[in-house]
Amino acid sequence: MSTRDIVRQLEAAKISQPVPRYSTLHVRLVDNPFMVAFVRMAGESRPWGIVYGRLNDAAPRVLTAGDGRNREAVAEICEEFGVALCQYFRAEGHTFNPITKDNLDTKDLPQIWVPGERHVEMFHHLEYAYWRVRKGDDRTQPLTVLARLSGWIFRESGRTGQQQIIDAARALRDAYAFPADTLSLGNLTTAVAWFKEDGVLPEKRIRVRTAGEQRVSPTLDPGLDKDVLSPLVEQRADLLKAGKSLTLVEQKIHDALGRELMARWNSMVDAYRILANDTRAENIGVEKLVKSTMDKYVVEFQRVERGMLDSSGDPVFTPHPETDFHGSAAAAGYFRMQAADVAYTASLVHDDAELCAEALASGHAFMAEVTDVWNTGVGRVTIPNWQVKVPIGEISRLREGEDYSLVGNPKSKVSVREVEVVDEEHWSVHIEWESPKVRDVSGPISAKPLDSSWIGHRLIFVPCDTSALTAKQAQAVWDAKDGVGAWLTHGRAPVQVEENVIDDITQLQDN
Amino acid sequence: MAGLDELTDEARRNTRGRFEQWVKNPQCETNTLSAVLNVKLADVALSLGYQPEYGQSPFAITRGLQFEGWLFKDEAKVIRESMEKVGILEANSSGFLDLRLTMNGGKSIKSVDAALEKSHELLVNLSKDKKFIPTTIIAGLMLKIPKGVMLPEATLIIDVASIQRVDDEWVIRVGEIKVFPDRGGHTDSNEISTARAQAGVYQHALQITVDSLGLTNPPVVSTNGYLVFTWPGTNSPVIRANEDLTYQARRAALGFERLDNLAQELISKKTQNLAEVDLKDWIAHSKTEYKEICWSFCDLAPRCQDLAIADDRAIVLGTEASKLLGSVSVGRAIELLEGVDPKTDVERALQVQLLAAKWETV
Ligand code: SF4
Repeated sequence: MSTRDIVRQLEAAKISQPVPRYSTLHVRLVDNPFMVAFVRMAGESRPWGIVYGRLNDAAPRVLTAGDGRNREAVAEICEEFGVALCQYFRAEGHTFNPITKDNLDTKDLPQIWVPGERHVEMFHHLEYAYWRVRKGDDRTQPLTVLARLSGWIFRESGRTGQQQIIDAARALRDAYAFPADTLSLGNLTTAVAWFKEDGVLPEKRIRVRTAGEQRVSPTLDPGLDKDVLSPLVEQRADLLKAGKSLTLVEQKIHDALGRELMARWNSMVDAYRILANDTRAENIGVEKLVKSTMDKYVVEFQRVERGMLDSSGDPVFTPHPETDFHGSAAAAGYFRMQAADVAYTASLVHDDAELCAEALASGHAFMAEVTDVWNTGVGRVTIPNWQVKVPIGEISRLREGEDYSLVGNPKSKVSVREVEVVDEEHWSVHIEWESPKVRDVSGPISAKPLDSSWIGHRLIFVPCDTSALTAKQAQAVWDAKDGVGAWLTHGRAPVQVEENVIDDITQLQDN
Repeated sequence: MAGLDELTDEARRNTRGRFEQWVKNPQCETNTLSAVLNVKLADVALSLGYQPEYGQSPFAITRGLQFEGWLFKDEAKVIRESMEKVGILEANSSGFLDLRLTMNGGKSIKSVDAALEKSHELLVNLSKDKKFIPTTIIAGLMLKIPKGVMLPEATLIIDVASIQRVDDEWVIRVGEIKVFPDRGGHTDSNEISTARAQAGVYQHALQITVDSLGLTNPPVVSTNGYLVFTWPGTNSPVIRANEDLTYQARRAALGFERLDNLAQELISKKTQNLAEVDLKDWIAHSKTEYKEICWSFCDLAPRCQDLAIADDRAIVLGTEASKLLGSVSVGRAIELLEGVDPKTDVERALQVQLLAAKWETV
């Protein structure tokens, strides 16, 4: 947390309300997203109950198992949920119109909302629960597809800037500064209560805290377990033993879990509405993030599913839920994550004055006054060059050889050729325009880089989006398999594979 | 003056839980006294009119017992297989000593004293009897930690321990069993570090117990421990072997020492005998040090937050704000941000920082 964040917190405390953190919203709010929340029995990792549906549905679907430890009953609710999720995601094999490279449209982004981080983790648990198949099993049956889709959702959730899975509590924390500690804001009801509760501090703090007593994590309140659910589950076990009807007791369990699930659902809907009613515009860079999210979905999930449908029983690579098990896979994954990190700020900073100011304060961007403009091109070649005067800030990361963009022009690229100290307070920096060279760029004026009317203008330069380069490194890692040192980077992983299980590392190595 | 010896037998149990509670907020006297005097924070909260929240779900307790029961069933067949697979034990190992109390799922040990006696016997036998063939797995090894650790003496139960012959010496390794799922690289790091810290407490306690016995040829207490978790959604154990507990054990040693000193200091301040003191009242009205982490373990968190709110302390905005603002209240920080004249050097320095970060967007 930066001092700037604390200043925002103080501003929020002054008005007893959350305040916007940035000038634009950094998340795509699709019109009618898919929402889901889970509850699970303490000590278990699979869901005991699931609420899911589309935001605008008249009522969401509430599914529960009589006993959260009963594998078959839990698998049944997971399967129903899985089918609905796969259909919403237009997964290969679940619709006549799957999302593919050819029909990809960012307007069709499938987006799934969950109340918080622990619900995101539930997707990882679902992957673990249903991922394993034995040789000869049908790998396209709904639970196995759910496992793969869940794995994809879980992995994707960790990629900076992704727009497919929205942790509602985090989305609120990213968009607003609250007059409260971060730990309490992990609970979505607390974050939402800061918007819903009236009044001023300090009384409002107590009201928000009381509202936040409603848990929204998948694990239920131990008090509820002790007083309500545990006696019901015991009663159910006794009835089962006695061979009596379970209908009534299971209905009671369903009702108790349903109330909890609906509390989680309602908090998510509130969070969505808070963001939807925000007057800030969506950052123009979000479109690029959506595009990259969908590209990844097609390449990393849909392609695998297509392979499953087409394969004649041959192994098709699917990632292991636990780890990469392979140095090259890990390295490539690292580069992809790094590329996403770079792309995130680089995409948004051009349309967000606050983010831009943050980049300046942290030394990632710099402000400069143009002092000279000249051409080093020969003949018909134009190579615009500028000399700019840069105030030496407290923190500066300006280095020779680095690339920047003129703010507001995400596709522009200038390269820092030389940095010279002018006096105690300024550097003189020589920059060369790489793109555009002859087209207009816009700032306080709109003109070609070689236009001398830029002289005297103060401009901001932000880090260039070098993510494509980093992403290429991911590919280079795989391409290194025939190069020097391949024995080290592409060695076979020392894993023990259970005989009757098609282990994914084997597939990874064979492909 | 009060003395620690006056504490009840009950207070000598549950040492690890109380130590781990104290470690979460050692600056708080209320927390320290609660750990030392073994008075539950939940009871103190109740006495102040706050409804305690924490307590384990009955489902979680059952699951924990079931998992442990499964691991140690049939001469510890399940955990043995896993231990052999990861090299904690050699293949075809044998022998299981179950020292768990019957109330905790054990087969034959009915009392704490019986468990202590058997545990002591094992350590002594390892030392003196060259021909002694020990069991390879022990569940519920119980230790009586010598005087000077928190209390006059305290007992501690080790989830699982294993014995191996290495270079002509008996080596004991300790393990911590937790029912939570091990998700490889995605496992909750807090859970891992908590488990590791707890194993460190075992290692330290076993070491000082062995040292205190004055054995001529004592067994070696390995600094290599292991953590036993579950494969997600199943009862299959996942063992993280070769956990280096050196630093965790050192942390435990330093922590126990500090807690001992604090305990002596706080208790020596009391002029009455402890038996005559209303412990809850004493704890409830001791000095506190409210932090965000309090919400993760202390039933008094709402009460301490109420006090912080009433004082307009910066901690209500979180740890980071509290670090920056120090003793300056939230209200005063807002005034400084608005440009009022600072009254002290601390305020002046804070104002400079706040105004530097209150830039106008460009
Ligand atoms: S909540 Fe209060 S009593 Fe409990 S540890 Fe924190 S400061 Fe101490």
